Amino acid sequence: MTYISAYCTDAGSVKRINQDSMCIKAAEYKNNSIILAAVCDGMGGLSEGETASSYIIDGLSEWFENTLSGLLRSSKSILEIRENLDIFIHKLSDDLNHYSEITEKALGTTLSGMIFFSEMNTALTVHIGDTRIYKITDDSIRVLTTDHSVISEEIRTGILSPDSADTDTRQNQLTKCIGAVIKNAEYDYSIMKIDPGTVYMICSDGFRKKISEQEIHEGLKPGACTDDISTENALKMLLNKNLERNEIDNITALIVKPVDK
Amino acid sequence: MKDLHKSRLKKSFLRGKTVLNFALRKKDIINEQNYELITKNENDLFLKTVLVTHNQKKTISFDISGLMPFSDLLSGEISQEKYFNILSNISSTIEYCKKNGISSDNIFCDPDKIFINKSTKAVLLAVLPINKGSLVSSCARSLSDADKMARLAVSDISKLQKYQNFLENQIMLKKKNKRLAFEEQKMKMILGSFAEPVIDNSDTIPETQTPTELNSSPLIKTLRSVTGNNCLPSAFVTDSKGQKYYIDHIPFNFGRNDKSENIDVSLSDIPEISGFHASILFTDGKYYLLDNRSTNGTFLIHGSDNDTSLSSRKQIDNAELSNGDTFYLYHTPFRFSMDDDTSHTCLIDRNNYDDSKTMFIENSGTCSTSNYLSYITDEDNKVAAYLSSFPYSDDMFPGILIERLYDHDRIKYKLSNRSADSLFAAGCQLKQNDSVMIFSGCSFTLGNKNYTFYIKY
Repeated sequence: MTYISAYCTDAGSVKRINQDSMCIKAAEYKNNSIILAAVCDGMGGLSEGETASSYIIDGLSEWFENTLSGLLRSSKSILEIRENLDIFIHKLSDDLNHYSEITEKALGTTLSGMIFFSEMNTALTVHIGDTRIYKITDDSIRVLTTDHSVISEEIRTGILSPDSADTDTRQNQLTKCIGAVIKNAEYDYSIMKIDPGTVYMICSDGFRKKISEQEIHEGLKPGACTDDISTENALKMLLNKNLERNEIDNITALIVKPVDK
Repeated sequence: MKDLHKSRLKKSFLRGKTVLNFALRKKDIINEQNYELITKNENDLFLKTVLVTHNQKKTISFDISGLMPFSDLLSGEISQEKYFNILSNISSTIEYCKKNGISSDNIFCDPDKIFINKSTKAVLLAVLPINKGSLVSSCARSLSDADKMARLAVSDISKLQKYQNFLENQIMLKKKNKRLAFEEQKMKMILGSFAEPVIDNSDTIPETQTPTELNSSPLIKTLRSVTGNNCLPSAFVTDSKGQKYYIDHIPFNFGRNDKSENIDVSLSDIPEISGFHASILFTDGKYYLLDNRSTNGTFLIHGSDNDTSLSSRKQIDNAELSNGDTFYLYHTPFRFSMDDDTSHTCLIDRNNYDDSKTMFIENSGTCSTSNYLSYITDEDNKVAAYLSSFPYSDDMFPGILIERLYDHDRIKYKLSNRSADSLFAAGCQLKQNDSVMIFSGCSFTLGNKNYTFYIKY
């Protein structure tokens, strides 16, 4: 299996600082690719949101490079890898909280990420906050993650109708994230089969608020992402659409599209 | 300071009695009137207290023989009713003390310093009959310690959260103003009235008792507490000269006191304003203005009202602030503004998020949505069940059991196949009597139906 990948990121039409962080990394194991792709959205109003998001991305990259190879060499199962990753992210969260205690600066971040294990034909997702993972095929677009937000929770429990959610003023309010002085929040994971030819898109909330799901689907259909360059162009087109519509939040999105050799 | 205070209260054994001794220092002056009130103990509120003088050293000695520490009761499972009943007793004693001129700073509210008489059911407190001096004790902090320790069977989570919010707020206010007295009446109002006795005869807890397993309780409260400076929606106040003050932390305090006394907007040249006049708080995603029992009051005019005359100003104790509102600290105006920029991602303090607005969902048949700990969604991403009590089994998911286990500082969930014909979870097939640890986001297939298990926090 090979992978097409691309990303786009912008501070938004107003902000000078981009608090989003992202990474796409590839490694080879037994002649098979392993891909790590992740997006973090640092907490905007929190001081040093960019510190938090980059700390998690750096930590995750380090785990991918150093720890994951060891786990694979010792033939750990995907469940054991998930558990190891969960413990590791909680440790990173504790580090952020410790930093907050010392500096009295609260900082936190969301995280949505995927690890593609070609050999096992399996992908592992990790998610916390309101960054999202989309699965886009020719016929459909589906959000694989559940927003950890006040609005999402109120829709789930029936307080808020999905129709009125769009105009709710609390779009930015999360119920959990990494750091931000929260201890032991439970992060979401899923284990799924990789569907070759499918576009997996991970984005911060700034990428999806001013454009519709239909526009994302139209713009990022597998047919529009045939190689790295066309994928990057497709992402840039939607990014520009966001900027044209005066999206003031940081905007970040990345795509990984597995393709059968 | 609290630790210093606690360290002066030492347990010892003397002539068959168990006592807590508090060694007085030279600057600790006994208040005779308070001493008499405490030693008389007409209402059975205080530990038996005696002043002992030995080699010119004075010690206040509290007799705790045969009494059960509150902490022992909390280490086993305790119903919310019983817990709140004891807290009500404590708040009544604080109220009684204050009415009689004893500061709340002189009352030990640490869970291991509060005792219960198993025969009379009385809740007994250690209270120091000394004039306020070097001592700084925080009832709120101590009660918060008790709350963290408590292993509650929760029956009304929104009330519990309100109580926790109250403690959190009291701790913050006390931090800002060390002279602030504990607001026991507010606490009493939140607790409401509970009929369950403090302790019944079956409540004898042997010293060797080990805590019951967490997963056996009907509903264990979420031990997690979110504190600290969570992100706030961008807001600021503007004074009459156009000076802007950004609300970058909570509570945001106004008063005549100096900034070194945790006042954010210091108005030292306006004598009509109280030292610690008012505060802006953020709860449940909204900003509130709180009057801190100021002498001359706090007034509000909503932004939509054009009439700013004195008569149109509404005096408030606690009111929600909206963009464009003007509030007055007596006669001094401030305009409250929120940035239209809602792009900042921020975290809602769970302690301040009011779940009581959530509705009762009939379909799960097990709980209201206000107190669920986890939930299961179906293939259409619709909630199939809210899970509040564990071990969980339901006819909707025949043959499976979900347990909630405590593993050091983490809560873990285990899915077992009791009698299901076909169960797959986390990529494994579970035969009968097989189990697997599941996690938030974990999917499982029961029969031919796919579900996903999520943990709320």
